[in-house]
Amino acid sequence: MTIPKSRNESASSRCGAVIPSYLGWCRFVLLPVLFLVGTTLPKTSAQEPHSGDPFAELRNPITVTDVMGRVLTGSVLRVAHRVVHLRVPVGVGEVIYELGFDAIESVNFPGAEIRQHAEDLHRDERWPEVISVLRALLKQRRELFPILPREEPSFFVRLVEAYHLTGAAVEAIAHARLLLPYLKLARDRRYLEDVILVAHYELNLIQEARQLATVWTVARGRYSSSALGWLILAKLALNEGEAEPALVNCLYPIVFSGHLRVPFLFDCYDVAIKASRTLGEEQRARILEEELAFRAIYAPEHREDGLTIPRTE
Amino acid sequence: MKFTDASTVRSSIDSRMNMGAPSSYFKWVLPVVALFSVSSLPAPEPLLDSLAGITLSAFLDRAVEAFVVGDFLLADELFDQLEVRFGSEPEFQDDEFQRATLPVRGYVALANGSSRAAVDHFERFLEKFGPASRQRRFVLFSLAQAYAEIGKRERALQTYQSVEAEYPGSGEAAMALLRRCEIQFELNRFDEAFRDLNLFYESEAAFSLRLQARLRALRAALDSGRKGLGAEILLQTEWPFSSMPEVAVLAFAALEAGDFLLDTGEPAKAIRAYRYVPEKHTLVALQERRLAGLRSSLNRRQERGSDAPARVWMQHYQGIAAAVESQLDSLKEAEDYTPAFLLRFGQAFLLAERYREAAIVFQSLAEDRDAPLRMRRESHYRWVLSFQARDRWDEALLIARDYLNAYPDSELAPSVLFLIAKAYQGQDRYEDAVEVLDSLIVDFPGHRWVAQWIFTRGFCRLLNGEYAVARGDFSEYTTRFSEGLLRVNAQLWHSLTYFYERDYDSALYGINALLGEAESHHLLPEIKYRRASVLYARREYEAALRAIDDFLSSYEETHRAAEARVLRGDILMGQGELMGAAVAFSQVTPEAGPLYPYAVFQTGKIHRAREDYPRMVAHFNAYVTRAAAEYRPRLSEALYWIGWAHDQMGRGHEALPIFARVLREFGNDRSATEILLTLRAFGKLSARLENRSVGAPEVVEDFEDWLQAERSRAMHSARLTYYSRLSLYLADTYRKGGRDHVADLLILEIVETVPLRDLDAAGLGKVGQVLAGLGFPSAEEHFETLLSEFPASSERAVAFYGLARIHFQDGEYPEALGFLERFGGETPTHVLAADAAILEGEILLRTGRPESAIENMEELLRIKSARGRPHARALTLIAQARIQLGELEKAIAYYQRVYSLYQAYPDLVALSYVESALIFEELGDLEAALSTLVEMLGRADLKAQDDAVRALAARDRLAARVDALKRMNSASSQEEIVR
Repeated sequence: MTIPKSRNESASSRCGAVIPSYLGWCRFVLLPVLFLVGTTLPKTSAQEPHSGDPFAELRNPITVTDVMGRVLTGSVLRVAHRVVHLRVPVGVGEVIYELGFDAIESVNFPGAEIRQHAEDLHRDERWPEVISVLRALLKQRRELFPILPREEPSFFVRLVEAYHLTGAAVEAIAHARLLLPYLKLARDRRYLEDVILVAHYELNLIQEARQLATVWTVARGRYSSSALGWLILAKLALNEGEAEPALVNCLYPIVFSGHLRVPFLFDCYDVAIKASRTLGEEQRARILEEELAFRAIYAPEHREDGLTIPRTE
Repeated sequence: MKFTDASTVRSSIDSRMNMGAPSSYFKWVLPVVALFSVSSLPAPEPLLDSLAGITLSAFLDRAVEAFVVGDFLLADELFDQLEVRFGSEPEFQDDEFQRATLPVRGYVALANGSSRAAVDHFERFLEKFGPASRQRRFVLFSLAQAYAEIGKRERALQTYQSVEAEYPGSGEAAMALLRRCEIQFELNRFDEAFRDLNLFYESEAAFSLRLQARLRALRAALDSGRKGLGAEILLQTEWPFSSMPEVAVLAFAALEAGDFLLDTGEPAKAIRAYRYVPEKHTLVALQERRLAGLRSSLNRRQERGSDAPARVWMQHYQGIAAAVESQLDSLKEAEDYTPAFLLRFGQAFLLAERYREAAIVFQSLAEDRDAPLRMRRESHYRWVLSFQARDRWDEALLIARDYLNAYPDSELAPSVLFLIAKAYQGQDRYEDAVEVLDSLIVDFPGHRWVAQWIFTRGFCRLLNGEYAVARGDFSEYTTRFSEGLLRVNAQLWHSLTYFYERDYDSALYGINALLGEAESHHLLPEIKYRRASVLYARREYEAALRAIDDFLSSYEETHRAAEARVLRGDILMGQGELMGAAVAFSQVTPEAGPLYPYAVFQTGKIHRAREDYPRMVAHFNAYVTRAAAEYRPRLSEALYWIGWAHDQMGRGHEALPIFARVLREFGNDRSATEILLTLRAFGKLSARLENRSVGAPEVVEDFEDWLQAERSRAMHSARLTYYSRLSLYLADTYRKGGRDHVADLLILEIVETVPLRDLDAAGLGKVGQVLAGLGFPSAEEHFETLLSEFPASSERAVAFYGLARIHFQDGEYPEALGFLERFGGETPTHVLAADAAILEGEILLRTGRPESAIENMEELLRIKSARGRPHARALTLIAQARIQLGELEKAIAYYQRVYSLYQAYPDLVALSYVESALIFEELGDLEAALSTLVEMLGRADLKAQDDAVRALAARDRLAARVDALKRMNSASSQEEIVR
């Protein structure tokens, strides 16, 4: 599949300034002596067959089209300092191209069917398989995220979702942090921040969870579209026997959510009612119960052992 | 003239109008007109030119085409010309042609604003084709609209009703109802309109239409001033807030309804209403989303069809979209309503006593830098109120100070200062409160709240025990603000200041005077209750009983009722009517809170006094076996009394397990009381049973050994409260055995091993006393902890007395007197009361107030329970006071009473002898002085007293003087004889 380069990349390129004109736009390094003998440096293994490996296709060479229309097929050696180092086989040897981000028009990855398959699996909520396929796809593409359109890293939010929904908190945090720098959509970023927060809480990393939740509440403001940060702060307080701060934190989204249904509002009511009873404020607990019923807010379906963050597409 | 193929024409119209069912409009064979009368056409020349020679069919084609593309002006002209040119043609007059064209012409005329022409077309259609026509529904609906537009509202109403009646359940019927109600609103026929809209809302019609009807009813109710109805409609409807199109209309209606509910004293409902009001940014985003949805829906409708009935619907939705767009534009342009709304929202929470939520809202607005300054300032002020309302004085104080820092020149500054004073009052920092109120009264003498400030200052002073100055404030209030709202309150408190000074006569006088003035005042029950209390304090039990019975007969349901029943019990006890008192106490229910256990234990005390031990056991058993969830404090105490009663009945084997249970279950419970008493009872009983060889498992062989072992076990298991109690008990035992130093060592061990947080009230008091006696500064910490952590404990008396003593020793007499006043006010019946009175007497003497000291000590001498050493001490203090007053003979008389009557207190006896002797000496009666000292020194029991040394020195000095005098006298006598 061909993915055009992200259009919002910077226009500057360090390649053009140093490449001799006869070599065109691209600075590449010919290694005639060393690479003439195939045995000295074999061709990339990506071109070898991979029997039994369902994701073998993903290791096939990618195709990069430059802004001049030139097509290069090879494998990414590394990406550094806004330059893609592309290893392209030439005869028995190979040439390494250093392509500035600005010089790349599009990238074509092999494995379009595998990507489609990942989407199907995601739609069917087959989370372990989603993880397996998306990990393979991520491995294939992650180095080129800086030059890919925003939809591409956004696609992998599904992987974090799968980790989150299967209770793999550590993996969820790791992958969310990996993806966050490349995500442009506020919706995606918010989801990953939520996952990171919940995962820390579930891993019982109290200090970190409290810090993250505090930052979360400041960043999202009083009319947040979720009550998660407040809920985590409240749960942390309640776990420490501090019913008063637990109650106040929960009341924040209860006060400001209005008639818009924000995720975790039910949980906030639940904690607020418990905290009220802990404080001996039965009347308050009853008021909150009545309000919960009047506002027709129902219990969400959380995972058995944790909180489930709803994802809006 | 030639004819085209009918099916071709129909297909042409159908395909362009995409009519579906209404294609039947044009099922006839259209004639083609050959000739035009060009001159009669009002259309522009070029158009008319182009129509010259056109056939009827082609003419019709052009008209329909104009209709389809929405060029209704052109369509209208073309249809008119069609009639002008071909009106006399049989094809034109053909029923099928008319059936097809009249509705379209009517609609076109309506769309162009030619409503009268539209009426004409539609009426002609109905007249000609009657009720059987398929287009009837559309024609009726459009005709009604046309009637309305030309002002024939009644006809319009009837016609809409026809649509509703003939096509029930259809979309047109629903729209007809909505439009009919609009006309009813225009005709001020509100009741009919609301009734119909309500019926429609409850019908089976499409939800979106029912919702529109509901929203219209809501808006109309509010606009017509029926705000209660509007609020009812709002709250009784399940609005699909996140998906309804006119969300802004709902939001603003909710804002209006919420304001109405708030203003009419229904804050809880106002909160519900306000929940439909999102902040402006959210509302704009919602409205934008709805508008985009509506437009996309309109586009889809447009793609699906554009026949006349479809256009009616499109027109309907276009109307909604236009309204939504207009609302959105207004919303974007308007000033942000959010801050003002938040103020109201917070206020609703405040009035609904949901103070935390109120604080959240007010804090949020106060800290919102985008909000207008005056809103932030107002919100900050109310933020203070939210904490004040919860008695969270620390936070209230901090927020109030922040307010003054942020807005020092605000017009609300005096109000905030007043809140600060109230916060100090809430923290029992009365002097600070008075200081703030002083400055307010001086700096803002004309402020509208000055009366309240004066009253509050008086109240703070009263709470601080400064009764005389408090009285001054209450007097000032009643003098300056004779019409003030708090006049009766001020008068009542004025009288009660006397009560707290135990000047019951003045208190009763004031209250009696107030009774006549406050006949219809809401404080009348309070005044009557206080009157009964004063009578009780004066020990006028009969009058007190009449007063409290009078109160209870009139105010059975007031908040003082439980206290009144308790007071009634106390009065009857005072009269010796023990069973009557028990009955009165039994009427105090658990709902009375702390009064309930008081009544329970008073009843127990009655059974004890009557030596009715079985009843006492049953009574306390009923209390301890109440469900655990019920309010039942002082359980350990109740159990102790059960055990005690069993013991009195000679059932020690039943008492012992109960005492053991108290120690086991409550020994380490810091809030449990009577643990030391239980230990004592356990020890005594155990020894008795051991002697009688009763084989109860709880019996311990050697109680002191058991105590030591139990202490070790308590320490080992970190039950430090229990450990401290066992140690204190042991220390008491040592002290009684005269081993004071061992007792002190045990107490110091407690100080080292048990943190303050594990000491109970008695422990804090006893350890504090020992530390104070040894001169350790940490005594103060123990006393202060006792005061702060056990605010209801009678052991606070120890702290009051201890702290007073420390201040006395440091020469800080006002501070010492302050604690003694608290002692008298809060723990007057404590066993240290006499010591406190004596200390007060000493302070009065030190501060040059001998008359007051004499008065206090005389009062102490009247108290039977203070007989013994306190009385002896009081006599010595009176004697000292008399000396200060120069009444030396009187002083001698008091000292003589001590050494004559109080032989059990050799230190005081010795002191009295010496002081008497010295006064005699001062009076020049040296022989009396000497004989006094000789008498004293002749008593063996006084020889070890400190004053014996003074006495010896004085005796020698006096003896020498007497001897010298005698010799001088003798010499004088001889001289006289010689002469």
